[in-house]
Amino acid sequence: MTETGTRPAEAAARPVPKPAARRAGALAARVAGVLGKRVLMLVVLLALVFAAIELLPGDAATATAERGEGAAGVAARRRLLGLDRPVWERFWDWITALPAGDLGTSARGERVGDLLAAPLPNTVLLGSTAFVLTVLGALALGTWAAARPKGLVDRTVDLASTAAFALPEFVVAVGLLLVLSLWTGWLPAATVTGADGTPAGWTTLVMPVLALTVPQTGWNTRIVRGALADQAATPHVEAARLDGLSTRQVLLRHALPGAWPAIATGVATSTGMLLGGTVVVETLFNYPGIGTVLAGAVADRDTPVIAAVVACSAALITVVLLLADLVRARTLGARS
Amino acid sequence: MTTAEVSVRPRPRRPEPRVLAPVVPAVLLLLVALAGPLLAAHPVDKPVTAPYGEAGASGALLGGDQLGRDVLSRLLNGGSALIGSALVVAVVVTFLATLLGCFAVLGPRLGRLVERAADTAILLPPVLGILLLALAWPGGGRLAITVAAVLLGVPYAVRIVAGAAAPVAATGFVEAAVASGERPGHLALREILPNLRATVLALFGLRFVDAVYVISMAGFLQLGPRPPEADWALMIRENGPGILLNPWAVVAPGLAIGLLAISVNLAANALAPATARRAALR
Amino acid sequence: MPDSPPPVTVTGLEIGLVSGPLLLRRTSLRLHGGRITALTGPSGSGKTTLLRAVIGELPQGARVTSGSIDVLGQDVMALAPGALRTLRRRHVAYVGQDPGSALDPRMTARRLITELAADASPEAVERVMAECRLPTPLAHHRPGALSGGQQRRLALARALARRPDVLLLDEPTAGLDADLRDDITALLRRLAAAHGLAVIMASHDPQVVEACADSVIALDAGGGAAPYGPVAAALPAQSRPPGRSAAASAPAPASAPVSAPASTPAPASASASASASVEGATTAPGGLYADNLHVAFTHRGHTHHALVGAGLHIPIGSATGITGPSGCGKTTLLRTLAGLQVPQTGSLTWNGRPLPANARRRSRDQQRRIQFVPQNPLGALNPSRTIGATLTRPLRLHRVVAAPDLPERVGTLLEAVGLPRDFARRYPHELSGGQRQRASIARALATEPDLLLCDEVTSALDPATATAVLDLLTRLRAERRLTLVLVSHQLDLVAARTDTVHLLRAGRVVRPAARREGAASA
Repeated sequence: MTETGTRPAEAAARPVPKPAARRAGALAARVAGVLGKRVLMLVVLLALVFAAIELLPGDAATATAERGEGAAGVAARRRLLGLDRPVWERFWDWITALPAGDLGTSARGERVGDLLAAPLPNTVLLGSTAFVLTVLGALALGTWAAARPKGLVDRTVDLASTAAFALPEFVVAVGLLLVLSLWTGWLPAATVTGADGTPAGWTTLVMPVLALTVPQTGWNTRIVRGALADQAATPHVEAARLDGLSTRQVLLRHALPGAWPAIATGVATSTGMLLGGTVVVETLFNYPGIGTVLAGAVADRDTPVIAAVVACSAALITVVLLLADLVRARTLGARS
Repeated sequence: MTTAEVSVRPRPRRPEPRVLAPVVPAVLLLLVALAGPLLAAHPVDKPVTAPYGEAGASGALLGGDQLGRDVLSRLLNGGSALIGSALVVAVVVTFLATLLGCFAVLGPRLGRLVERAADTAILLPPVLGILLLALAWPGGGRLAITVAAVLLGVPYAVRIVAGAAAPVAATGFVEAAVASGERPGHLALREILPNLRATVLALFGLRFVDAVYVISMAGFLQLGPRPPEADWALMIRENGPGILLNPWAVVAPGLAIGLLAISVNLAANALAPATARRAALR
Repeated sequence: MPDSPPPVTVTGLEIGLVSGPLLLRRTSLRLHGGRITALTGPSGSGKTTLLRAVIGELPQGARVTSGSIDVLGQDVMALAPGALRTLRRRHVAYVGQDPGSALDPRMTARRLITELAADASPEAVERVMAECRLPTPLAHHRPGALSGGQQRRLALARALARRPDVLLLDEPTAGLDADLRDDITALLRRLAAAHGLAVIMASHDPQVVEACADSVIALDAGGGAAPYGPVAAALPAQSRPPGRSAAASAPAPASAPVSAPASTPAPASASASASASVEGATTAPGGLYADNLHVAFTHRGHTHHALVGAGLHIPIGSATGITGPSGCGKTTLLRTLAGLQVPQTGSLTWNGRPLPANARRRSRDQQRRIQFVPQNPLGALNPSRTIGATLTRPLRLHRVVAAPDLPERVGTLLEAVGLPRDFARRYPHELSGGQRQRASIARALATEPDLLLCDEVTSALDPATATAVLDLLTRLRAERRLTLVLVSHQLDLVAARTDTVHLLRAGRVVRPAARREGAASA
């Protein structure tokens, strides 16, 4: 981006640089293209979600119907919930209301937005803590292993991360409960909530966060290690090594910058896994978050709530993917 | 790099014993889990001891669960269905993905579709996807979970196969065959597919691990198997409240799932070459 | 200076792969401060291997089988990692073959130099840049914004900034035009004299060697003598660049054993043998016409124009060469002719009738008559099938012979390309590079074609094998009345065996270097 100085003396051999305005225009077009693609994917997914709910048997009216309720009762409820209107019309209403924060109405007639408002901060706290720890842990372990390829650390990290990413979060949680709570008694086994419904104190966060972090760190460590191995094979990293730079300089200054796109994509992928894991971990620890609401909604067969949560998580993942796109564009853009 | 490897890599010979070592625990565990029902001492649905009865009491080696049923017997019975459906998912996903992936690299249109499908699928976390389908298909039980796991797994897996097949599709022998007028079916199945053995193997291992993950999550969320069925994931959920009384009722199935996932993942890791593994991770 | 001990002494050094083949024949040399030593030899003779061994780096799977390397009084092969790093960081600088890719694309020129500089002050960095004739404003540019010559000088500046005692250069002038080449050689001379540097450079360019070397060491074709098999192919790319450095490589002064059959003209004598065209190869009307071909690739918003209105005529029975620098679009042109690359515009005509641009749209007969022989190292043969199965497939597809006669025809084909019949049972990895290329030609011959389109069939083959493969093609052309198109970057090899050579530059056919008849190139 710093190409504003005098052109190189031998510039004649190179293509004529585009005027700044044209370049900015091309950049805007590309940004719009990437943005449009991601948003389109999001809309497609929402349509699929809606279709899955609509086309398969068992809509919200029958699901919430009382036992023994007659067909007339179900029909009335269906009218109440607006289920008698054409599918595309309801899809249009639903999807156009989403950006405004209107997540729809639950099968019990409550507004989904209100239902999710209270537990949302708790889940954000849990998820973001786990996310940050995952990224930091994976970067540290991955670079540590890459410093000495095929060394003891490398092999140990490889084995441990392979084992870790295979584990479902609730299995990790059971192990943590056993060690940190039952055997040592360091931490409470269930989340203690304060009067306002938020977790009381950081100790209740430790186990849920760890249960989410361990598998995702395993996954991302492998991504980081793999991206660094790919970078180590590039000519300029090899040249840096042959120039006698220290392992640290070679890794951090030459290999890691080029590995960012792969790492960003990997981390973005694990956002979805983290969100899914949250549902399970919150249920297990009775943590007052979205996951607990969701588990309740599953028990009630409350489809609008589930659809709303899916829509929100898809939107969140889209944002993270766009950030990963940005990282990739920056890394590649820094080459000229 | 990959193209050169494709051209010169000798056909795989018999694996070394060192490579086979990590496979042994996985195979043993699978056998025990599948033969488990034959080894169980008690029926899975009759109480033999007090609720959350202590380990060792009244012949229940690992104690009783929330209804006093024998934890060990339920443990021995609870693996085969999980492993069975995970195997089905892994086989179906790998098969479909391999087929689609081989064709996707031959036609730009199918290739783009595969890319878009994977981009879309990434927006739906597997757990939420399963919740959705289980709700939309009430009473689907294990079948619904299996179908959901396949639907959620395929787009991602196709991208992996297509990624591995792309360099093969660019090799000289495929180009010569295209120029000579070979049909896509022959190109995909006879020219490209036989060179993807390592990738398919790595993919199968990872898909199995992933299926165990997804199906056990569903079991934990009480979406798949119904009580009184014995299922490892369901056992953890059911016996969670009694973890202080009889920890084994929770820990034993937890260990079983953990060991299954880890041993299969390590086995897949050892069997597939590093390049294929890295490709399969993306 | 003459009395100081030589900074680098290599004694009886031999490097080989653990699995057998030699990468470097027994070599001894001694470098002196202030003097430039040139290292010559055919490609595959171990020039790069030797240079990298001096900084203690061996290709994967290789080891020193005998001899020693002494650098500044230390045995580099026995140095601890830390001491080796210090040696590379402060005393011995290595500049590889392709400095453009060896410079971190994300760092500015200034940072790239400062990172290694013994004196990191801005003035010192500017001094080094000035010394290498790099204008100061370039300090803020990243390598991607520099020209090839500037990248090379930046790599040199990066090497000199650490004030080394020894400078190792691998093909410092490859791919540069004459002016830049003279620039670099003058710079090297000046630097060697000014700093008392001991310089050793690998080069295949006799003019450069003559212009600046104080002494010359010629290497034998050490690795080249070893069969090109799976083992050799498993080498990391940098130790055996596929043909790039071999471009126009004249065999080294006398030492290169070109063990070609006596009947074949040596590649160097291309100009002498005015035409190796076959007797009776009449240039009948018809043939393949390509007109105004445009091919552009778009990647991440950047459009690369591979072909810009390229056109040519390939008469029936002729042998046509297509050559040009790497990246000029010659392979794209051939793939377009083969129907593997659909051009944005342009048309193809085959014997007076339009030829569809997409191979899949061509008629069965056209698909049979036009055959494509792919580049050798990039998987010309399916590794999971035997040679016999590979040859049987086109025979079946185009129903060339009845099913019972298939094995017999496979045998005949193998014999026609000079391979034993029992090779039908072998897998490609059990064949050497030259044998694989022959099998690939046999597959193309199976359909009894009229036109063979050959893409770099000799790259990655040692000179003797390359000559033999080209002789095979020449012989087949005569026997089967084939029309031959050879794409190669090795002008001398191609020129000796073709009637017309088309030169491609930046996606355009610039000159049909006609020997006997001028082909249209509009």
